Amino acid sequence: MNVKTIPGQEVRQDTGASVGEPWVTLVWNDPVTTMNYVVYVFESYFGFSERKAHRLMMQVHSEGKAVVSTGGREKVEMDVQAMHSFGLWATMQRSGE
Amino acid sequence: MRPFEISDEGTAYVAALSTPERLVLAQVTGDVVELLGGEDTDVDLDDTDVDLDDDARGDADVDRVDRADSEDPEDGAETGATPLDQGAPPTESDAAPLDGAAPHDAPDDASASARTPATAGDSLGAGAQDADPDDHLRQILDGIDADVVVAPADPAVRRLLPDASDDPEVAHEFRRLTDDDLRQRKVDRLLLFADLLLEASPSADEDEQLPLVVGREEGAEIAGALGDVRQVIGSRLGLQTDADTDALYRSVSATWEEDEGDGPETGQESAGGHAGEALSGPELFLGSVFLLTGYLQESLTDCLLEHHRRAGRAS
Repeated sequence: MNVKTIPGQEVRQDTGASVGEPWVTLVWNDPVTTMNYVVYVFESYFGFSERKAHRLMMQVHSEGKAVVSTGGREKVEMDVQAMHSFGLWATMQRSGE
Repeated sequence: MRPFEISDEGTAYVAALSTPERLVLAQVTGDVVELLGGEDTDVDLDDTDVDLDDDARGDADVDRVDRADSEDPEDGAETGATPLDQGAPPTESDAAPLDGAAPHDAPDDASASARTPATAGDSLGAGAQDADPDDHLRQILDGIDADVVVAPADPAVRRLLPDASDDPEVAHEFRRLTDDDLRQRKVDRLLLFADLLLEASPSADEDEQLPLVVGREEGAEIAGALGDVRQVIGSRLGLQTDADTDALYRSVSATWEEDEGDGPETGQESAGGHAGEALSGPELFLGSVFLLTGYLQESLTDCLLEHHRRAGRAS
């Protein structure tokens, strides 16, 4: 499980969610999407700061994936659908899986 | 190609493309629409004043197999009638990678994109697959009719509409809820992109750079469309890792640089071994479009980011 790759405190600060949320949204690295597009999606859709968007993008790029949001199933479903709409490869899973 | 910049008034994003680049991109974009099960794009192409010859119009046909067969006897490499005719159609039968190793006889290879073959539909279609994607499409559409949405069998389409979970039940439920909307949104913005590409009157001068104007409110949609086109090409080219993509950039760029060194009058771009893996035929064509769309998407995204951050600072 990969929730531990993001400090829980930061998740709470930036998304208003907590690590105790039942579902997480993962964004995965792919060989096609440009780095600045990933940053743009993270800033424009999630409202992340430039710094956080860049850090998460780098995590996706170097570690292969990153948790970008947490929440109830419907919220995470919405986020994954938005990522797919933007063209990013995203999945959802239960926290702790 | 000139990359996107924010217009002076800040109300639009403006790039510049040659007429051959626009037509090739419009065709590839139309092919992606077809893969997604969108409308036949013949109408869009035919409605324009673009002087598409029969070959080019044929590329937009839905039935790829028939098209590939019918084009065989009229391989445009010899005629040079339009830039789109140059090169062999990238069908399995007559576009072996070795074809491009022989010197092209095209006299006007001023830019890499201008000499690329125009048969993107074949490259994105059945050529690289062991099954007819139209069958996949029928299967998908049948599935929708029966309210049983199945994952796309074509890996390129599956990349555009990926499984949302490795839990099959979650993935299926997600697909059932979102497949229609995601498909429609992607199709709509691809069609918008194709319309914008065909907006300018074509120029007889193949090198003339004509503006591609994307309204500010359309920017995110066009960036998304460019990304979808790239995902399909990347899938067809078998890009699986960042290293694969880096190698493709090196190979295609090496071909471009060699063109520049030779000068536009020689037309010997593929004549011999050069830096990177020798790319030719359909791979070089798709690789060139991949890089072209990459520059467009990256520059457009820079514009979008600048506007987004400016708005954030202002609020």
